[in-house]
Amino acid sequence: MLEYDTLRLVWWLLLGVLLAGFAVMDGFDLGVAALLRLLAHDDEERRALLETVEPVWEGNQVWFVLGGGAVFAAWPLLYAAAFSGFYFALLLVLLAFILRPVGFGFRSKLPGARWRGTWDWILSVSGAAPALLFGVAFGNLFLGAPFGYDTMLRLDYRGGLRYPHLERIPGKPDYLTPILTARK
Amino acid sequence: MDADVVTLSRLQFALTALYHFLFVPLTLGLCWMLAIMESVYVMTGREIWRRMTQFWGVLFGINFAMGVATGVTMEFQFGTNWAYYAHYVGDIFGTPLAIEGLMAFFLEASFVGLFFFGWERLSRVQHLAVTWLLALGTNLSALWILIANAWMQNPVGAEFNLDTMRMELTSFGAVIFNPVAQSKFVHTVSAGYVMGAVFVLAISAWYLLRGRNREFAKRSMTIAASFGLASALSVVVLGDESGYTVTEHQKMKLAAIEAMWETEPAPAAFTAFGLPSLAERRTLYAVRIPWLMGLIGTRSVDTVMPGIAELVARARERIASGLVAYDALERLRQDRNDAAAQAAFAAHRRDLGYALLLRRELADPRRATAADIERAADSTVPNVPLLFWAFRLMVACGFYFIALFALAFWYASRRELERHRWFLRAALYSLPLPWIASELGWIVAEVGRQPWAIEGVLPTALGVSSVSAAQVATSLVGFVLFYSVLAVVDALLMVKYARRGPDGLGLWPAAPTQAGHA
Repeated sequence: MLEYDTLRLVWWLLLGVLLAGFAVMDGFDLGVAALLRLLAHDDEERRALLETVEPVWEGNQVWFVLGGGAVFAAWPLLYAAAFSGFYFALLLVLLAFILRPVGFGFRSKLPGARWRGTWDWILSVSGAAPALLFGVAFGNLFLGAPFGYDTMLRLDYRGGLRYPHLERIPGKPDYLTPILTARK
Repeated sequence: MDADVVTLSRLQFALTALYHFLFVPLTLGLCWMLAIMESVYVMTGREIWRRMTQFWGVLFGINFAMGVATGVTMEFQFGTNWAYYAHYVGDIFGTPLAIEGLMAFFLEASFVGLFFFGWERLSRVQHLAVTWLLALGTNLSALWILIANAWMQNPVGAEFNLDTMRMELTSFGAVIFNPVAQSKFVHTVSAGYVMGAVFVLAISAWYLLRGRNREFAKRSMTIAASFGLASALSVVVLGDESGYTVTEHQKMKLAAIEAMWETEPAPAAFTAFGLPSLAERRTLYAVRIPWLMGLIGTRSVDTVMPGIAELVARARERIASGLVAYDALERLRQDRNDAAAQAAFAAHRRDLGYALLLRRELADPRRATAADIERAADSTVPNVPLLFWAFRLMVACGFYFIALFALAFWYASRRELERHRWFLRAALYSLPLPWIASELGWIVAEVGRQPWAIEGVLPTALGVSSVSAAQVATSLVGFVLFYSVLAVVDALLMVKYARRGPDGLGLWPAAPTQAGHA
């Protein structure tokens, strides 16, 4: 049998590979969906954009499912603490991951402009939201999310649950405002 | 434990699982039928079989998207809403889920893209291989999920570790070869195959009633009839096998399904009809068939099956024994070298879960009064009327499917499917039944497990996260809203494509050069 320390290292490496795989593989799917309305101006262009990822996005999404499964099996404590601690963040990610497959599957099934327009919006939001939420959640992990355990080792979030939130680093240039104002 | 959080979390899990289970069985069944149709195409070279694979593939794709969408929630919900459960048994329960992602979901998700987009780029044999691997992937996926579920029903190969205060894996082989997992897997996938077959049968029958797509529909019906007959027979026979394993491992579930309030002399009678009353603990207006239950449940004439009252008495004893283990555990946490506590814990550890039943109401189970213990023992009885009726309706559907497919098979072999319009109508109106039967099956399996999340190990109420009722209420509303809207859109899209049919979509009859695009 493997020593516990070796096993732990192997799993850290595996999880690193999984997360990197997710970032690379699913990253471009999320990106294409997020930019759908910005880059493409008519239905033909949007279809061309979507077709770049349509055959592969399902396989890419497995990295996300697999990452979740690996954390569950290898670090149940982390799985339990992180996902229930960042409850709303994960809820929003899940809702986005519910809409995305359906968006890819249903969008081009009917010709109507309103039908396609609605799905384009849904795809854009479900592409942009997870990337933003993951960024904010990981940022919060670096800032620290305090929790402890009671006598039965039930999770106890000291000072209440913390939610991922954006925090501006003083002195850094503000790139977000010009992007948001330009679209209006 | 906050009772509202428990209720809302359970409601959310039940609803999201039931929604997920609307789509998954159809995927499981339809993928094999696609593989069979495409195999006929590759073997005979007849274009119509390729077009059939493509047409049913379009409907498969619409359904598949919903299955994937509702499936992601299931995997992460254990962390968001059942954090203590995830922490307590994650080593064991999380492993089959991770393997499912690694081998099965990877397989199906990769090949589903190739299935839809590979028609023009792959050779015939290559594409056929893709379809078979897609079918294999979806079915392997079901296998690993049911291994995880079976462990909740019959937790083998694991042990409580008092240093970490959680369950740890002792034998992965025991978890994989759990007898409950085997019978559950074959029963559940067979139910999916029946659903796929009824789906194809009903839509094809509609075309024949309209006199549309006749060549297409007759061939589809023939495949559905033979595949469906085999599946309907196996779902009932293997469902019986599933019942037999329940007899061994979940006696309370079986007694509740049969509303067997008192232990009867062997072989026990089967209650075919009746109104079980939880309050009075008896079944009103019972119509009973002597001997039948004992024969099905024990496959013998002399093995006694315990009734609910006797099982509650046994639970009471196990709670008392569990309290000894709980007390020893608390002492050991103060002093690991306490020899008396070590001996007591070793002798009573298998009943520790029963002491945890008391923790739903008491912070310290050791302070439990006789009345508390009595209430906890009573709580081991699941919802008898619901189980009684859900089970009977499910079984009735099962026998109906055998009759339906036997007739379909007979008419298909005699090439007279079109002649019996009443039969075509019956086939069309049977469309909702496999969904009803599958959902009822899920209810029997999971409501019957209550009050346990893991039978005899962890009560459901203890498994919840340290979140607030308001949070769970918000997510519950969110899921129900999203799922309901999407399910309606999905159903409308299905109806639209089924109505349009192979003729409306230009798939058959069609110019042979035109590409069938999904």
